[in-house]
Amino acid sequence: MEFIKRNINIDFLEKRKTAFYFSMILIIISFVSLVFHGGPKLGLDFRGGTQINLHFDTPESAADIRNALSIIDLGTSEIKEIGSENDILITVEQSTGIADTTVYILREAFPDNNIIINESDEVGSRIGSELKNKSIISVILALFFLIIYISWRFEFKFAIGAITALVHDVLITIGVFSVMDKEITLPIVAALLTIVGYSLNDTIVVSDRIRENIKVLRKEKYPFIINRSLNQTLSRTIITSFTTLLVVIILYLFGSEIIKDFALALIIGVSIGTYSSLFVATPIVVLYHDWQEEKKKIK
Amino acid sequence: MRRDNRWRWFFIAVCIITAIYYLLPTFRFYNLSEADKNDPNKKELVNELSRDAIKRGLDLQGGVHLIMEIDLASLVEKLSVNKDQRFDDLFDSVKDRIENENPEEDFLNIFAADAQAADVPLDRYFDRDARLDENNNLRSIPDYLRNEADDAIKRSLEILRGRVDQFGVAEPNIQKKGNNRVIVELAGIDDIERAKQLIQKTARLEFKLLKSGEVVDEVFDEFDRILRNELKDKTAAAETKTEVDTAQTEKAVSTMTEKSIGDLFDTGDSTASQEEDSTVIFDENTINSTPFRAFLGDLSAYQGWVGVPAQNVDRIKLLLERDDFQEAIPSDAVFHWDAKPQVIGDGSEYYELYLLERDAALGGEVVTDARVEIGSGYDPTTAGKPEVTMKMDRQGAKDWETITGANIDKRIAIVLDDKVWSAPNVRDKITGGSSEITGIGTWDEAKDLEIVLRSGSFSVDMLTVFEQRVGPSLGADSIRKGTLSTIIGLILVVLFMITYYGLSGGIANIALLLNLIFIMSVLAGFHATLTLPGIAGLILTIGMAVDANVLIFERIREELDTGKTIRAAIDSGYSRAFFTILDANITTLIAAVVLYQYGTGPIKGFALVLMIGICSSMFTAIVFTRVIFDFVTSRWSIQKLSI
Repeated sequence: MEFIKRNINIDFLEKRKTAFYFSMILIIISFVSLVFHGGPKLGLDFRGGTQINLHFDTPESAADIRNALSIIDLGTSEIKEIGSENDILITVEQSTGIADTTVYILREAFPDNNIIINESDEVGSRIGSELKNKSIISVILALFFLIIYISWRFEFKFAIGAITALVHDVLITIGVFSVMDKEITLPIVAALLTIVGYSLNDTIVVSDRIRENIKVLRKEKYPFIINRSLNQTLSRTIITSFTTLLVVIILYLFGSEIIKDFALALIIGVSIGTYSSLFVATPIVVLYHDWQEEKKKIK
Repeated sequence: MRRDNRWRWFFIAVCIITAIYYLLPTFRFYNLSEADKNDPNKKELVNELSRDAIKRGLDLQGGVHLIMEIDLASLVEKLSVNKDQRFDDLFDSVKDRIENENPEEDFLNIFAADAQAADVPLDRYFDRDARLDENNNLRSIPDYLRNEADDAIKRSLEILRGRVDQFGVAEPNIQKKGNNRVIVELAGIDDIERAKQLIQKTARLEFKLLKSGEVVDEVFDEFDRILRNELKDKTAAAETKTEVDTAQTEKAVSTMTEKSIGDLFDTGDSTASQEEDSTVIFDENTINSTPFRAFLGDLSAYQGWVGVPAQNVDRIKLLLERDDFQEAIPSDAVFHWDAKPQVIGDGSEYYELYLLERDAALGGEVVTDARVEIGSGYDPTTAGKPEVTMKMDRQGAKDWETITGANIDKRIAIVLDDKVWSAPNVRDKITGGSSEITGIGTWDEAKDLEIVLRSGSFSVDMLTVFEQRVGPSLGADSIRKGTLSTIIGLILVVLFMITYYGLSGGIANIALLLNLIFIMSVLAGFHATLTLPGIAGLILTIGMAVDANVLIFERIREELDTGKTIRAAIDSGYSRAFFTILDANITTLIAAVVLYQYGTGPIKGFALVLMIGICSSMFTAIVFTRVIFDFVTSRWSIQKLSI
């Protein structure tokens, strides 16, 4: 069975203007949202605080719960349902010892209701900022090593193309999360790094084919070679994205709350990653190549 | 060709068998029934299996993960001597800086740097002898402090291990993290609250003498005087103490009434205004003459101890914190409360308030052992109830004998973390160095006390900077969801591969299943922990592992198109795709390695699965499927390759 006909010939490079506008729109929306919200919405892991996930046998309204908790000063707090109406998520700014107090008060306030702690997290602000720094370092380090590796295996211009596509993917994923008002937590950072690795996967397969075709199709023009390579690897690109998306969508549908967000990041990242491998990385490579040719001519 | 493949077959067979060997304990362990787990004869087997089976992370089996940190500021404070204003100012400013501006900064570093900048001679404030190392060299102050902190952490680790050990957790994870931190992870425990209490308790034990009744009276007189000025109804304020005394003793029954604080006092300051609506009970007859004492229960029938009705405790606590009240307390005395309320005849609860010597007569370090026992004897308050008996070392026993001998008919309080557990009357001098803590509520509480007393107390304050609790039901739920997702994902991918690539897809599917077995067995073999993100990683690997096979199959299809024979096409396909697969997977591997290095617990689990999965999928795609293809094409003459 074949989705993609063997001798398919889409002119990807021709569409690069449209792709450019499309990408620009996405990036601008991401930027605007991030600026508007003052940066990405940091999860508990990074900003510190307390988050308690409680199960109430008989559902209580968030308003009632807030009322019951009003005797202690919670600071800025968020109380919402999570998953089902029996499960409540309480997020509070303070981080020392407040979880126990909160549960105690709620048990006193609703004595006939059985309240179970599903999960509770208390993160001191120091640890939070440490984790944040660690995460940023890890992403930068990963990018660094990857540039070196790709430059070594292929030419530098492929590295540029790959990194551009990468940054594009990560930025848009964070942007979508910002627009959807979702938090960036540790699992999301893990998802972003996975997207980095995955996006590069794609780019390398294409770059590899380009490298091979340059040798074989010596006579042809550069854009033609690029297009050919893209078309030849199209089948593989689509299939791999398809199978990955398939499992990630399963994760999204059947996973717990944390996994849902993680899966969402991957869905966005993989989709945009596939798009960028076809329409963003290679035009950059062509641009660089043309620029190199210009320099040669001038010499 | 045949030769090569025989070795490859052999190698693959070895891998599979090894994998199954490592996975067997997991399979057997999770198939144990509840009855098996509780059977004492099978205990060793169960332990062995649980050790070798795949470990579940906190998010999969529930439990608690704590990160505790030495309070360096309090350590410096404890170690410093001859403190003067200069020192205090420096100390406070550093503390401020760290709390408000740079929470990640190390207290010791800033302290040393600031001291130097402000020209504060730290030598003056730290004991010289304490700074000598094993070779009698004098350590610099920063080194000395750092060394003390290290020692404190080591001791804390031991104490924690002792406590957790006695508590009986299956596989506790207690380790040092960085310079000043300790990680305690207890997975699969049922009573998380209790475990937390046990771990976080400082457990500083002290034996303190009570101040005499006269001293208490003086202090209370002063309290009365202060409060009299704040009464709303300032009539009939009795002046002399003796008048008050006679007035009280004449009353057969004291009248306790309830009112709100706002009604009684001019609550000028803002701290009290929160309490305005709370009610207290007090003796109406004495409220105007002795307003403080009026809040205490009239317990003259109980040998004059100071009991505060449970309802009034908060209010009294607030009063005691006030500056003017603090000044009334002599500098060598301190107030401590009962750890547990005492219940008297009519069922009402009282907390006794003790005025104790500030300095302990004897410290908890002398206690060598503690044991829970059921009180024997005829005293109704202790018979049949759990109590903890403590034994002291030789010097401690001697000191205890001296102290008890010098204080016959006086009371000595047993104080744990500034709360009084009991304050028995010394009837006789005590030889042999034993003492009991009575008045404990439940057997569990007594057991916990026994554990902390045995393990010792933390010599420094430990702050909890990170705490994660996962309830067991959430853990089981996560496993269920994870397993469901894996199975569905697997089925879908398998179906797709067969539909799209025919029988070759089937071969790829076998490779996929092998991958999963390999990944799980490596996790088991290395005693790594499977977390929820780890399961996600597993599912992700299912989706990505196909990639290597797809690359090869697409190549083979292309080669077939150019008219090559089946075997030639397979050859070309594999060799051409090899480097592409290598490059592509290495990049994902680099990202996974970085993630493993910098990630925390659950993320590490994810990165680990990813790394193993990538290597495994490369192996199965390149070696395993190749061998199968070779076998199929050489055994039977295939006309058309189903790919």
